[in-house]
Amino acid sequence: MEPLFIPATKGTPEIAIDAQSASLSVKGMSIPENAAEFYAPVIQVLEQVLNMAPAHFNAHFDLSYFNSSSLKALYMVLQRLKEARIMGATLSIEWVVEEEDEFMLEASQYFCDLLGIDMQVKHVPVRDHRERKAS
Amino acid sequence: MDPNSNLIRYEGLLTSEVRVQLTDLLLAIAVSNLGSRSDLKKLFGVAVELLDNAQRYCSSGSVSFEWHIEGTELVIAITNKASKADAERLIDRVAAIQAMSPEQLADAFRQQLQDPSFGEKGGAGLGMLQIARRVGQAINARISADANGDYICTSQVTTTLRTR
Repeated sequence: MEPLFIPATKGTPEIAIDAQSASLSVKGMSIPENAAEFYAPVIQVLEQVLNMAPAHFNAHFDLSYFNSSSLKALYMVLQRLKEARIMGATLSIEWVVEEEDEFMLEASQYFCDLLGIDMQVKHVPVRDHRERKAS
Repeated sequence: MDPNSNLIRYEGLLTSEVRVQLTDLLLAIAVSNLGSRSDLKKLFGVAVELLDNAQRYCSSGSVSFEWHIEGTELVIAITNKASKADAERLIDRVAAIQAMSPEQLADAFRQQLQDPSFGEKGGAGLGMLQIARRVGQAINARISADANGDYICTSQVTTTLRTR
């Protein structure tokens, strides 16, 4: 199965899904105008990969900010990962949080509480997201 | 518009390109001027949600957007034209949110998040709830009909900035 790679734009994150390594990576700013449209192919490919019943799946989220419609889309992504765990996969979810970023820390806690999943929160120093964003 | 200023005022079409430029500028202003990093994300987020709503429901013409820091207060306001149905929905939505207790707000947010459907314009139905979660009930909305039968909607958030 071909990997999925969506490059970052100023308002959308870089997304990579690789069936071979059973991994998902989401990095950057997620404020698409239409999150349902943006994340639909991501969820579709993720479901295909998870349907291959990987023994282990790695997910990495390094988001600087996301809007409320992306929040729902991310919830749906994490829900698929939880379903994979129920089917027997072991999950490793890393969630990057910058120093003092209560928004992103609260988001990880909220998702964990709501879905009953575990995440490894990785604290990193503050970065300048204006420099990180693609043009 | 100047990223070193405490003021952004924009009047014009809210195209995709303008939305990206405004969010870029807001982020620059937030980084430069806001007291704490938590305020940065919180208030940048409020502005993004208001812009998203205006873009989704603007029926025609220009929008007016303002981000204004005065002393310890930040005012974010957006005005756009909308259909009568969307304008009335905005008023009803804000009134309902203002009447909610914190527990009701948390329940409404969770239920809306867990509902897998999106609106036909790509909204998740979470924007106003998310704003209220961040700034309490400091959100106001008003509508008025214009001579052409359009409705003018103004959403405004006023909040106190935390000191560094």
